Amino acid sequence: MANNSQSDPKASVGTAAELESCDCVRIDRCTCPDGIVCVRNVSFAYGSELALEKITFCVPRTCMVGVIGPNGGGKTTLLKLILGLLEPTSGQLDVLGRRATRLARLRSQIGYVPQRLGIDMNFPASVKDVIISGCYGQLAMFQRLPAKRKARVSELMDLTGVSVYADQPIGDLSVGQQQRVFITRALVADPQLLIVDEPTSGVDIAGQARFFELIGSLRKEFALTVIMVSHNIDQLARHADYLVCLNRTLHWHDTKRPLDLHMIEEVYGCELRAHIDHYHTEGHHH
Amino acid sequence: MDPTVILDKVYHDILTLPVLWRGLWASVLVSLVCSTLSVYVVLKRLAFIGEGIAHSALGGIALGVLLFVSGPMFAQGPAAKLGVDVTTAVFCLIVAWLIGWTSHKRIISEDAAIGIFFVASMAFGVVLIALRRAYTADLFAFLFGSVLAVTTGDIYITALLAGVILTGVLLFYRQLFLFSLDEELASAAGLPVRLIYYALLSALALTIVISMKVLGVLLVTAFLVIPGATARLLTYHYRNIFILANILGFLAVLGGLMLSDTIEDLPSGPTIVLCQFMMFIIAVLWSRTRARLARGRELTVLGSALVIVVYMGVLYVAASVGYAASLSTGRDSQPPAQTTSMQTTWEFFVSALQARHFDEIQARLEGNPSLGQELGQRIMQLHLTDAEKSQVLDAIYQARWNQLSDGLIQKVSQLPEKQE
Repeated sequence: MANNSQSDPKASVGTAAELESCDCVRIDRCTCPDGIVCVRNVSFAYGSELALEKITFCVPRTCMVGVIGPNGGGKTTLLKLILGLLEPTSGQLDVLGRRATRLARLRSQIGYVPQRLGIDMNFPASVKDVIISGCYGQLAMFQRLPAKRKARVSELMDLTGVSVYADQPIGDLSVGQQQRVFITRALVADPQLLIVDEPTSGVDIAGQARFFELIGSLRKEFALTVIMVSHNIDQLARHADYLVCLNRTLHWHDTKRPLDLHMIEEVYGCELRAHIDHYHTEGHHH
Repeated sequence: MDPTVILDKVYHDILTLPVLWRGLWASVLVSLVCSTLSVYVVLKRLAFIGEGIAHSALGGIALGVLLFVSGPMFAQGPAAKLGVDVTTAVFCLIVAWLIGWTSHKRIISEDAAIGIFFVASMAFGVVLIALRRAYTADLFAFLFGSVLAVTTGDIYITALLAGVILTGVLLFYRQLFLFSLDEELASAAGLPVRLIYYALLSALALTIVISMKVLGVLLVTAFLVIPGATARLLTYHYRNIFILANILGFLAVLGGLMLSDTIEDLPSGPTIVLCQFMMFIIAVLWSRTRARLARGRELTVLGSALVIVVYMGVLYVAASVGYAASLSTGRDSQPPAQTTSMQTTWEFFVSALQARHFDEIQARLEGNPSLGQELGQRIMQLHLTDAEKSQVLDAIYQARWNQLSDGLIQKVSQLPEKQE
């Protein structure tokens, strides 16, 4: 795996032996019988600008996939494609066994935690209002929240530790607390798939660690499949089953084996050794 | 001064003058729609887009007048009015969509798009107006609106629009919550975000066109921003902000109409806006105080009560002072100096009235809505009983000419001479 060319995704596949040893991912084809997200040969272009080129990978049930890569490398585009907000220019993208753009009611099976940027911090809503809005997709017009859901909401709020803020306006919370609120919101509809976009920006190191711990425990508790975009490679490598590295094309790494720094550096186009050394010395735990 | 004196007078005027009664209804309906929409305007930062749509209405009105009053699709009476209204509505809708479309497609930024489209529409309107010098007098009514010019038909249209928009907001309350919280979350939840955005723009455009009669283009956006902004200062809760915005908007309308009825010559639209502004200032002061003294606490009920009480206090003082002043100068003594054009308008009106050429007056009125206002103001100053004034105003605004008795016509045509 020493020599990865960015323009050809197959170059990053590695040897056949390596592929077989990984029961999670098939880079060049999507054959998992249990795949929740199957991306086959997907390209996407904004106008004439190619953002993703022939991406193929598969996320099996209850796996956690970390997506890393430089800014502008197509991470958010990939998430938007999986959420069905964008349609692939070419290729095929299936989520929960259906085309991502035609999920209809299955959409409530996807919990989405956005990058925090879009939300007006003066927004007049309490933490509880925001969390309950996660159930809206499952309610009919004017239908009140059933007691069972209500119980579920408070249960989840206890679990993520946000019940103490329940009646506070969302804007009064710190960035880390708000993240927990949006995680809780994403979980109230009992999704199978959780998609988390760049959760650690603006959070201190301890907060980031707690956040990843929370995701790890929630994932086990609810048998979630998780796709998470983050710049925190260290934490992501600890918690994810495998990493995909995106810079227009996709490069893949199984976290059961040591990180291929060379590959990641090549994707980022800069030296990363200083950031990741600490992880190497500690070794893995899975 | 005893507040009951003022209230009695206002109450009496409203009951006896259909003009005021219609104005009250129209204003309350407008307040209902605008206050509700103002919440979304504040949360989605649509204030400038509202301003842009409102100003661009000039182009629509000028086009409508050109088409239906003096142009190829010549129509008369209510049909002409409806034609102008529909043209304006369509024009504003198109401008709103164009602004939304150009900024969504990132052709230019949103504020630049608004700036360009509204200035272009206004310029278009001014050019059309210059082509037809006859209706330049409309401009003042167009800019500032008038409660007096509201017809029964306007009220029905406003009520219909209020019904549609409020039903929409209630039906899609949750979707709109998610939409205003975060568009990305909303689209991830499967909501048609673009559609909601355009629907909101369309609601805004239609509301502006309808409310313009009462408030005028320059002031209508105040109604679409201030109630929501004020309510936002008083509460952190999504549902309460709607309730509060509506209560405050309603009180501003009542206060503004009361003041303009009590104090002579006070125009209703600007007075209502100033009432809203007053509440906003009180709410700002309150929210600063609350931030200092009761950090992190909402205190919605206390804050709202405080704002309303202080507002009513200021209102009472203003009304008493104004009422006393207008009593001392004598409400009916001196008609304000009239311009020569007004003089000839009045002379025309009187001579046509005496000759029973009602269709002639009617034709002039339709070509120039502000003429009705000029005449109306003049009539309010005459030495007539309220019932008589009301009859004449009804004739002018509702085309009920056959109601006028010979005696009344005689009285109206002779009065100005006595006064001057």
